[in-house]
Amino acid sequence: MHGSEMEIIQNFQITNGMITIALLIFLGSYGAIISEKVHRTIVAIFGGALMIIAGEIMGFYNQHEATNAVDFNTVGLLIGMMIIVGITKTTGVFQFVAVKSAKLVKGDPWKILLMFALITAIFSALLDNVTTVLLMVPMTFVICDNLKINPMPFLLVEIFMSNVGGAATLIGDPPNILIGSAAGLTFMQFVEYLGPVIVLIVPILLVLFKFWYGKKIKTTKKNRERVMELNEIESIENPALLKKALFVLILVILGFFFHGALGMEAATIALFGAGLLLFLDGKNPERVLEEIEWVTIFFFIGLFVLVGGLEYVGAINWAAERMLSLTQGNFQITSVLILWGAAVFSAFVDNIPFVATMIPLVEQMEGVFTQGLNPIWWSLALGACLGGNGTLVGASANLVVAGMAEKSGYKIKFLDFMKVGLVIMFVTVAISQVYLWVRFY
Amino acid sequence: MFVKDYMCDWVNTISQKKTFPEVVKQMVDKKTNSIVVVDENKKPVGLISSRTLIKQVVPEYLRKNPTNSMFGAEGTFDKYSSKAKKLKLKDFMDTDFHCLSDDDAMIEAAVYSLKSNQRFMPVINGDGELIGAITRTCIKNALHNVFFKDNQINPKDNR
Repeated sequence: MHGSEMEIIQNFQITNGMITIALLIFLGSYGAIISEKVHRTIVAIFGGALMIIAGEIMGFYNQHEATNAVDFNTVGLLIGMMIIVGITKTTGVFQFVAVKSAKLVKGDPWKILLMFALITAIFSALLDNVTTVLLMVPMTFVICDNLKINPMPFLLVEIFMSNVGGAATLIGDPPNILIGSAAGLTFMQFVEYLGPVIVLIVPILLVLFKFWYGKKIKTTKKNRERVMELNEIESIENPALLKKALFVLILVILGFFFHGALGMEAATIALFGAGLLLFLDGKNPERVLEEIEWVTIFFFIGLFVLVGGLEYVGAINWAAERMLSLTQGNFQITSVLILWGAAVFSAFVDNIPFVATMIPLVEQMEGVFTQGLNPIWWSLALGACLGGNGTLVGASANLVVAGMAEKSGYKIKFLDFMKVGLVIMFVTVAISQVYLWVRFY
Repeated sequence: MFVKDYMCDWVNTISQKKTFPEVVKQMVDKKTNSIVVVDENKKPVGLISSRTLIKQVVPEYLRKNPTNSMFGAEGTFDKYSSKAKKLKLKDFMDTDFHCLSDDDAMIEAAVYSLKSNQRFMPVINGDGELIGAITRTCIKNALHNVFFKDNQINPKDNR
């Protein structure tokens, strides 16, 4: 829980010593996460524990408050979706979609790239980015092997589209999950306010891709015929489970569309779907639950505890006041600063801790602007998600693809990626800026 | 029942300076599925099994979801095998393995064969030098002698 939900009653005198210690623990943890010398989850758990101990000793934070700081809506939503995807991916449906789409365009490599770009964006809006690329990239290699073409343009396009598509919905990208949960924004609000700008961005990027890669990916008629000979039905190994998984997926997506109207949190919908699919699958849940990315879940928990300490000690409130004084309480300047600041920051460091820190800061601005806080939330979401395209380390999905590519003999170089990534980031954030300007200013 | 009673006292070994094709050739020539990589002092520094070799030629993108391999292109196996051609053994050998000593109890061999799914455990002397190996066949022989006391097999005859 953050700000508006979490009541912070300070019945103690905040001292400079408390703020200094809390900031040191927070910035030290942040630095360690950025350095990537130690796994970010270890840093978050250790830093969170240090924050509680310092808080207990100095009297600004305790275990009970740290537990309250953990946003179980975010955690529940992530776990629920991981279970649903974990079961669904075993059915072979994602391979089916990839092969079917390649055959639909008669094995034409440029059109396959277009199809994969769109599929990645759509999957990424409905699943998380890392899951999407983990599903798409292996099949990209397989199809490119059949076409005897270099998979690199496909890999880059899938990275960019996963970050763009993920920005469109509440569940598409972890920053959006964090923002949606903290600000009480519904799935439909994300679709209504961020969907249009993403729909605008996608075709513009496709034109850019055509310009960059259109002439580079060519194959022979024989190789195209090889793709046409693939039988997508072969990938469906368990049709009965596929029907159940699709039924639950559709139910969950419908649930997301109406969770606001139903008065339920997104986590409730996701966990209901996970429970239902586990029940329908009927097998021992141990194997499925092992597939949950506990490392990511505990990273989030550690972060919530860390940022909670900063909130309780009043450092977030102080930073919000400084930011408002910098922007002189001007709505437009604040929104521009958050959009571009989030984009640049997210291009170089993990956007999850950044957004987790920014959320309570934005909450402190409640009541300052006549337009309300929502446009600021949209600025933060767009900046954090689209900024992830700036460099290879900008988003987890980028690193996952780079890792998989390198192990398969294709190295994505940091500078090569950045040359293209920064252009994509600048174009998409600029379009978002215009969109926000037209819609809210 | 001790390791020394059931271990094989001959083991195929190879130097860690050798390459991927050289170990493939030696394993094929010796008709073995496992080989111990040793340093110049005959101390085991790694293990290579047929599985270790196969891992080098299955690309990362096919490992996590075997269904993808149904659509694998002809030539993929050759392509990734060729990429592994220049690998030195020290680049890919299994270094996380359990060694036994000859006076260890057989239960330790049985436990470790299950725990790490290790089909083959080098046996070393007090100086850390390789003196033999325990395979699953050795453990099976020990099991036989537990059940059939009137018809004991001599493990030395059945290695």
